[in-house]
Amino acid sequence: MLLIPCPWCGERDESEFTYGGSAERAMPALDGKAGMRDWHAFVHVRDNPRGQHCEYWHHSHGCERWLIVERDTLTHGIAEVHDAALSSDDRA
Amino acid sequence: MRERQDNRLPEGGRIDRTKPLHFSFDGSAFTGYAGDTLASALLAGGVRLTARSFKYHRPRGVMTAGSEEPNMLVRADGRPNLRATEIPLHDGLVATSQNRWPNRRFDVGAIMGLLSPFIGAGFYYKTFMAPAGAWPFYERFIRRAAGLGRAPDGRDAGRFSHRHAHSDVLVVGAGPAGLAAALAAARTGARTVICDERALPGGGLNWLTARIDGSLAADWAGAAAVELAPLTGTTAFAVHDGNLVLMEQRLGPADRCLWKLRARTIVLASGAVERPIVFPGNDRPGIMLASAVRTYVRQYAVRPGRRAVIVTNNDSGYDAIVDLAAAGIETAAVVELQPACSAAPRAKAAGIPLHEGARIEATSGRQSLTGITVAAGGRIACDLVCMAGGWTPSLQLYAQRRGRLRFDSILGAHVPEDAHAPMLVAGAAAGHLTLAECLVGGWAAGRAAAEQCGFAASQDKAFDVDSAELAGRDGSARLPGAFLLQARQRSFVDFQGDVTAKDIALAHGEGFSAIEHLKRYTTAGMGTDQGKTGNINALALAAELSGVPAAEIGHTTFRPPVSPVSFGAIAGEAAGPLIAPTRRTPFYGASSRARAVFVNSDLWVYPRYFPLQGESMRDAVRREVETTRSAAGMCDMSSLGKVDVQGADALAFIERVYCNNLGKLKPGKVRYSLMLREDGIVLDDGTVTCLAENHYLLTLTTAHSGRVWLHLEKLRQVHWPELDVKLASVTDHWASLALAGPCARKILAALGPDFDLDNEAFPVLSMREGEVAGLPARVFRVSFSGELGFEINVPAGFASALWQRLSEAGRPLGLAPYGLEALDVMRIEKGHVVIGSEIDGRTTPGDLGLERMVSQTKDFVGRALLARPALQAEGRHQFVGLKPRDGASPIPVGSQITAAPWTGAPQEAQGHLTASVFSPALGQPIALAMIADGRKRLSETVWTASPIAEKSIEVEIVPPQFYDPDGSRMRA
Repeated sequence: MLLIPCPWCGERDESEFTYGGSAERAMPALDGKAGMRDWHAFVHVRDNPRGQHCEYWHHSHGCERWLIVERDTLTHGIAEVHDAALSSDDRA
Repeated sequence: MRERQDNRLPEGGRIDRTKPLHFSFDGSAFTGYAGDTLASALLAGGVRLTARSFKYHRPRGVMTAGSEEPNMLVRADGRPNLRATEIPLHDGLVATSQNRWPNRRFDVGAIMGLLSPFIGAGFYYKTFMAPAGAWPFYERFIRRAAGLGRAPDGRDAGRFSHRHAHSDVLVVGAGPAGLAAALAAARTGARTVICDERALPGGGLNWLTARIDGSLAADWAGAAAVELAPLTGTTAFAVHDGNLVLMEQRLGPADRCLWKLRARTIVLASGAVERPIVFPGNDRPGIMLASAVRTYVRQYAVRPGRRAVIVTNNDSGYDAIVDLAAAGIETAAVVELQPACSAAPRAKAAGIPLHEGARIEATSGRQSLTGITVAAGGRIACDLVCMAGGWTPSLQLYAQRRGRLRFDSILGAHVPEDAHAPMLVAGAAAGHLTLAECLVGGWAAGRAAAEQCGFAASQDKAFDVDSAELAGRDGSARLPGAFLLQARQRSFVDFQGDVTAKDIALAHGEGFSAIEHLKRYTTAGMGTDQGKTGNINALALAAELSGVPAAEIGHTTFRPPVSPVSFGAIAGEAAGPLIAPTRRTPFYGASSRARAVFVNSDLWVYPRYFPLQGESMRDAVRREVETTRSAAGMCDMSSLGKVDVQGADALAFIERVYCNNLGKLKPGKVRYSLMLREDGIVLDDGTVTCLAENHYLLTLTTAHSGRVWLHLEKLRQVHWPELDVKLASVTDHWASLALAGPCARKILAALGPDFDLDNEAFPVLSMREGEVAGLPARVFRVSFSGELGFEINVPAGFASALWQRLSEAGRPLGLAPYGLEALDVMRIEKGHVVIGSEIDGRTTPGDLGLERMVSQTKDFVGRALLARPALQAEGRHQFVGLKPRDGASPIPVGSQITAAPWTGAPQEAQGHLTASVFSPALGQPIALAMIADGRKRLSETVWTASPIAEKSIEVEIVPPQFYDPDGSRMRA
């Protein structure tokens, strides 16, 4: 049962959160330019790293903010947590 | 007279002789004392045969004094498979033995012993194969023979709860190491919790003869317990990420509390379990662990036998000599497996015959031990054997947190590779077996734990320990595998699973030598005792047969729980009506008063139908539909999700989210809208209403409102943070009542709204805000039923008032409430798609016949992947209606669509039914379905096939809009 340090609410039990998938890729812009391949890569293609992994968690039973959590998939150690909306968006 | 305690010692023990307790076992009455376990009280009463083994139904007695007990599983107070060594005695306890018929002394199942050559390890992989169809016949007998214990009938009368807690330090185990650790930590000021699975804290201190700092060991433990207030009868059975520790606390015979404790640091002081010795005939009643015999003698004042033989491979076996003498038990011999032992002088000094380098050939006695035969020593008459086979540290919790284990070849068992991470390990659990080491090491661990939490380091403590124990470490000597295999009698390795040395050899011979295979093939370690006494012996024998050192064979994976946990404890109070939260709409009270029959729809409690006196559901639903279509009906729609969208970019946001164009939606207008997933599949359907410029209200389906809310917020916060838009969930703010039917406008008018209700002034798919029935309201002209309809929304607190005023206004015109069933009938007649039936996570807008809603001019979530060829291909299942050709046969729900009638021969399914009802409007059964290329096949004949209902109906494919297809009633 992970302890996730929400930047707004402090350390909270995993049961307060909803997992939201990998944060390793950004959603293609909805400007009509991104094609099927870009969207396919975003929706279906994932790395499965053994080690550090960036992922989304929603603090559903707390502040209801979406967070980006850097978690080690092997040890479940959590390195960093950021508010998704407020953090700089420089993921590939 | 059974109530005498023939084997109770006249004095001593940590029992309360002023509190006699009366209990029964297999129908006979017994007496014990407060402080007894069921096992100790039965031993005191002279009962030796207490169980029949799992597979061979061999007579068994108790072997241990703790949670590692493999043999003495009983049914107590209606609960099966409890270890009698862990059941605190209480007055009125009713216990029975298990796995025997008609009784434990004469058990017909003992015939299994004769079949033993055929039912060795893994026999079920090679038997019951032929004839092919006979399995159901075999299964009836196998089901009755397999398994242990009988499932309880009726609900557990215990009370169960959960408790959440936090602590700086958690100490698991309140033996000498644990108590010392907890004292060290608590005295620094750290919040310290200490737990122990036994009812009496102190562990070995309750039966060792020693003095600590001048006090008797048991008194020292008592004083520490007063200072620390340990959680007793509390098993820490799991440790999860973030040091979340789960503990089952047993409060009385039936009540359980599940603790969920977050500890910043953990000290594991869970002790070590003594191993039995593997020798031929080692499972008769009276053959016990040496430490268990000492526990029964010293802690419970019980004499488990009259004449004992100590069978040992290490020094700690010799510690039993003094305890046996103190109980008046004659020690007939010490049988030492090692060729020479440093403790030998102890036996000689006590005048006990010593057999060194011994080989045990057999034991005797059918329902109770009568003797043991040693090669080169002959048969020794005895009724008690004390096995001292070495010590196995209890490291399950350490291993659960991925702590690595190292096999210590002197100890003959695994020890922690690092006693500091992932948790601190102290005492016998770390492989330190003397009392002095446990106290000093425990204290150091408690200090370290408190320091890790930032509490100032305390001093090291020196303990003055006065003890004569030898507490030998060596536990590696064993009888050779070849010797065991040629013996006539079976040598048991896992007592609960009846796994013998021959089974281990068989598994090895068949290629199942890897330790995880060995476990599963022989079932060694798979019983309720989780191999606490058997695993190391099995592992060592397997290693010997494989010719590798035991250290290299590895070990099986440790998984929670460490000991069995009751389901009641896990459930806590979430049982019966409390199993999940109940969501009621604001109209719950009004619906109840209107005599609604409710149904659980996800977490919601919803009116299903409103029967009049004596009406069946079928009649009620039919009447509700007919009333709504001919006069008017009212239906609670409050559970639909509602999201308020505001901001300069509100329109931009909803344009990206929905697949249909919304740019031209003016204030006061409503549009039916579809939301797609990123991959082009339909996610949700609902309405979008423009309340004002930059202000919209979305409705989401009940079932998906939580999921869609998350989706919308993720888009807003994560993917489009640059948009100026805010969302608010207002689902619970508004009570929503649909008023539908030809008389709807007249009834609404009677409520005195402050806006014009004319068809021109208030057309379909528009919204008016104002006052209705004296209440603030938003009225949406939408219709799920297909009749002229108005959805009246008032703030939730006004729900009852709205219901009451609407009912009064509508009564003269025949207004009646309707529920989910009637709603479903009407939507099926209208061919409206719903979540779960047609929107099932596989369908696109095109599949549902809604392709015209998909915008060709804007980009939106799902657009790119909707264009994938497979989602646009021919042959996709499309939404259509079905009518039985004979105009009368009902079509079973769940039917598949086939080209020919169903006869049982395989056919390709062309689609499936999504709904099926009797239509009052058409006077016949109708259905909705998804059928390959359905829209191109209108008027075609196909068949429905339901192997479950065993019916196959000839049907015609028709458009799904059965009733008022051009929507003229809705637009009236």
